[in-house]
Parts: sequence; structure tokens; C-alpha cells
Amino acid sequence: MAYSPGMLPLKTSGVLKGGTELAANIIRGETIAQELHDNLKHEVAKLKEDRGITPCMAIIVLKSPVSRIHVARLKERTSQQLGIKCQIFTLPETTTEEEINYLTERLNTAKEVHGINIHPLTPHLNHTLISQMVDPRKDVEGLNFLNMGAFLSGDFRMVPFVARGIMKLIEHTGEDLEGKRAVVVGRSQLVGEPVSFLLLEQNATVSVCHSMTPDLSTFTKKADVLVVSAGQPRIIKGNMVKEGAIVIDVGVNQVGTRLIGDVDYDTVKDKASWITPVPGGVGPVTIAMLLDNLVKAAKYS
Amino acid sequence: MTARLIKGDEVAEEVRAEISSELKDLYDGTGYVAGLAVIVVGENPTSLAYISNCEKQGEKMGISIQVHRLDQNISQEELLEIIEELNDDFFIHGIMIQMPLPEHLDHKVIVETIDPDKDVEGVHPITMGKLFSDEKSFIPCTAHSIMKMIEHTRQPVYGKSAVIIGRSNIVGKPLSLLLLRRNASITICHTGTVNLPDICREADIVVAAAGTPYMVEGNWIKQDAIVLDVGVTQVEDKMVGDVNFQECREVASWISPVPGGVGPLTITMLMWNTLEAFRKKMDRI
Repeated sequence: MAYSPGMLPLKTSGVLKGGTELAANIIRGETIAQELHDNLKHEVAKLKEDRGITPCMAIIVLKSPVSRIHVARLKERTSQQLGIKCQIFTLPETTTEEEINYLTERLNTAKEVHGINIHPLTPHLNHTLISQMVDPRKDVEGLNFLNMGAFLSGDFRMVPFVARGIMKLIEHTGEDLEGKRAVVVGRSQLVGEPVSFLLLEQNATVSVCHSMTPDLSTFTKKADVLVVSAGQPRIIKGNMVKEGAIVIDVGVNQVGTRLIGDVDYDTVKDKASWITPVPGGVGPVTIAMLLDNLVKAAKYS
Repeated sequence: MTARLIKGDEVAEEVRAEISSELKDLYDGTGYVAGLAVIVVGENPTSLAYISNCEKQGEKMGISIQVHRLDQNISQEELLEIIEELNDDFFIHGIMIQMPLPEHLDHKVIVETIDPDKDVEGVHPITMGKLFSDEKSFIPCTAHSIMKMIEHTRQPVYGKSAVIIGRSNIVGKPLSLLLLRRNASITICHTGTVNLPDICREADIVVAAAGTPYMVEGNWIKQDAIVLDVGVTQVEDKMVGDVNFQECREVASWISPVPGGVGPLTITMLMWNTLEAFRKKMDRI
């Protein structure tokens, strides 16, 4: 049965603390992603049946660690499970902007391709400019100026998928955001800024803080919803969080062989009402939302 | 101590001088003059007054203003045709469409027909997307005016906390991005915000763009904050702002009055964007 807000939490940690107090409910990204996948599977099947369309994603990656090819493989595997086609184009690390643009143009005109996902590029390439070459209808990242501008004016054609994933996680807590205070730590164009506008859309009062904010805790302590995307391991501690807050940790920092978040999970889980783990929180949902954007693009193709 | 006034006219005067001198240099270098096309549909007296103000200001600065006064009943196709002609017109560098448009016209389609290189109001999605992506673009005039007024105070923005009341697409949202780029922390409030007075009291900079007369009271303002009033509402025969000016000026360090605050600056910033569009075009030839 699909989980819906208002039902019992997906999974509580079940740890009784001090005899009475429950630690935060854990927002399990995998479980939510699974539901999203189930829905997508249906939609993909329906698209095939009704219109003979098989959604197809093209992923461009460089042979470089920054490009995270293992994530591309994960996307490929997930796509296959859902009946989505996925083509990975692996280019040498020394690929030039012209070469990527040439490939992008070919993919723009390829009828069978519905979405183009460009993985993080090496610093010699300008991702923002390269994204402008992608046909706005195939821009599943929502980074084309046209889509970003439409988003800013409240027309949600294609919304950056990490931000959408975060909203899905919050939605699953069943909490109404109307009149709540939401604080976003981090102001990136992929995460912080778009998620702040999505929170605003839910009638939350939204603050955005960043590395130049003198005292983060003056903001974070007031947050009913705290979204952290700072890229700094464990900068948010338990004493910086309001009792009962929903805490979404977008950070993925590699420390030694471990992946840790921007939130100090152990101290924050005792104060928050809901918290995402790292890994297993935002990550799994973002791929689902990327594929959701793809299916949307295929529908309108 | 009473707050110092941020007078729109004073700020505008500085910007206008800069525009005039740049235009003169460009004219000396190229022999061309900047051209702005202004489209107004119908006979709304406020719109017509604004347009005539644009004409006066523009011509004073050396921008050629071409006004297109169109009939209330003009069809969508006719209007789009006019915009497309202006898009192709070598002597026109900026296109402005006075809002509101009559209801039978599709605002979205019309705005998206403007050539983004001539979108001096900063309303085309591509222009907004550039603003979002921190690429050089035309900044919407009201948000730009507010940034200019804050600059005018010469107070630091870096690390300050700014509260914006109002989340509109042309003021609240772009302004929040601009303030973030200047390293302020920002909070966007709106009609659904609970405890607005408390949130305002946290702010070093308060921008009121809600459209509710006299909403912001003196006790909402932190000592020495900067207060900018974007609201313009007609109450009886007076134009009033969102800020209770008399109360707030006793607490703030700087405050913008209404009228005489943001208003006079918006047309100037429109001309600034026209200059930018013109300069870009001249760089290409």
C-alpha cells in the first residue's frame, strides 16, 4: 500500500530515550523512492501502451572522478527497472566545450531521446553555458535559462530535481508548511535557491543562509523545517536545531571511506521530529525525481 | 536620532548622469543613438502618465523613445506582429510593454515574444533564468532600484540579515537573489507569514513590498535598520507606502519615503537597461 501523509510514520527509530521521549522519525529515502518508482513504472507502461513512447534518457559523463560515473550507472540500472531507456555517453576527460555541444545538438534532434542529463564537468568546462545548448523540452535538469526563468515566475515546467526530491521528503512527513518557518542553509542554483522558492510556494516563510551568515544558529534555531545543503561535514549540531523540527540533510561529504552529511546526525536526531539519514535520505529520491522529469518530458514530446 | 532619507530623486540623478555621459561617448564613437520602444494598450490614465514620464526622462538622457499607443481592442496577433517588427528594428534596443494589458491578451505569450536581448524590463523567462543562474542579464527595474538605494546608503550588505515582505515575481523573488549575491542572509515573508513583526525585528534591512498601506510599524524595526518602502497604494487622493513612515523614521538609520522613494528611480533603471542593451549591440558592430 502506498504511504500517504497522515498515516503512521514510515519507520520510527523506535528507540525510547529516557524512558518517555522518542527520537526523531527517520525519513527513509529508499522507501519513498520505491513508491515513486512504482508510480513511474505505471506511467511508463501507460505511455508505451497509449502512445507507443518509451522514455529515453541520455547521460553525458566525462571519464573523471568529478563526473561520478557510478551514479550514471545507478541511474541506468534504475531506468531499466522502470522500463526507461538510458544511454550513457562517456567522453574523455579532455573533451572540449565544442565537442560536448556537438553531441548535445545531435541528442536534441534525436527523436527517441526525451531528456539530456549532463553530469558534473571538470572546471575547464562551463556547465551553465553548456546547459543552454540543451533543447528546453529535453532539459530534465531544469537548468536552461528558459526553464529557470519560468520557474522563477511560478511556471513549473521543469524544476531542478534535487529540489523536487527534497520537497517529496518533506511531503512524506505529512506536515503542513503553511505559516511555518523554513530555513535553507546553502544558496546553490541547483539546490538552495530552487528549494527556497518551492518552500515559498507551500506558504512557508523562507530564510536562506550561507557561508557568509555570521551566526547560522540564530536562523537554524527558528526553523520548523531545516534544509541543509552546505557541503560542510556535520556543521549543524543538536544545539542549533529547534525541538520538533524537520531536518533534511542534502550534504554528501566523503570523509575517509565514509559518506557523512552536513548534519551531525547523532545529536540532531534527539531534537528533530523527522530527519533524513546520509546515505539513504535525499540521494535515492533525487534519481527518482530526475526520472520523473524525464517521463514528464516524454509526455509532452 | 531620526533616520536619514533615501531620496529616489537623488539616487536617480547620479544614475542619470552616468547614463547621459555613457550615451554621449557611445554616440561619439559610433554615431548611433539608443532607442527604446514603449508599448501601451488602452487609455489607462496612470499608464499614460507613466509613459509620458518615460518619454521626458529618456529624451533628457539622450535616448530616443518611440511610443506605440495601441487601441484597447487590438488583437493578440496584431500586437505580436508589432513586437516582432520591433525585435527586428535595428534602431530599437529595448522594448517595454506597459502593464496591465487588457484581459483578452495573453500576457505570457506576449512577454515571451520579446527578443531577450531587448528585454529591458527583465520580464522574459530567459532574462529571469539568467538572473537565477547569476549570468549577466537585465535586472527587473524595481528590484534594481532597491539595490541602488541600498548602495546609496554606503552601509555594508555583506553578512547582514534582510527581510523582504512580499514574494512577487518582479520584486520579492529577484530582490532576494540579488541580496543573496551580495552575501546577505535573506528571509522572504508574505501574507501567510506568522509573527511578521518578530521576524522584521531581526532584520538589518527591511524591504516592504506588500501593497498594504502603513503595515510596517515603528516597533517592528530594529534600532538603526535600513527601511525601504516599495508599496504605493492610493488612499483617498494620496499615495501611501507600506511603512508607517513617521514611526519608523525614529528607529531606522535610513528610510525611503513614499512618494519620492523607489518610484522616481524605476524609470531611470529602465533607461539604464536600455543603455546596457544598446552598448551590447554597439560592441557587436
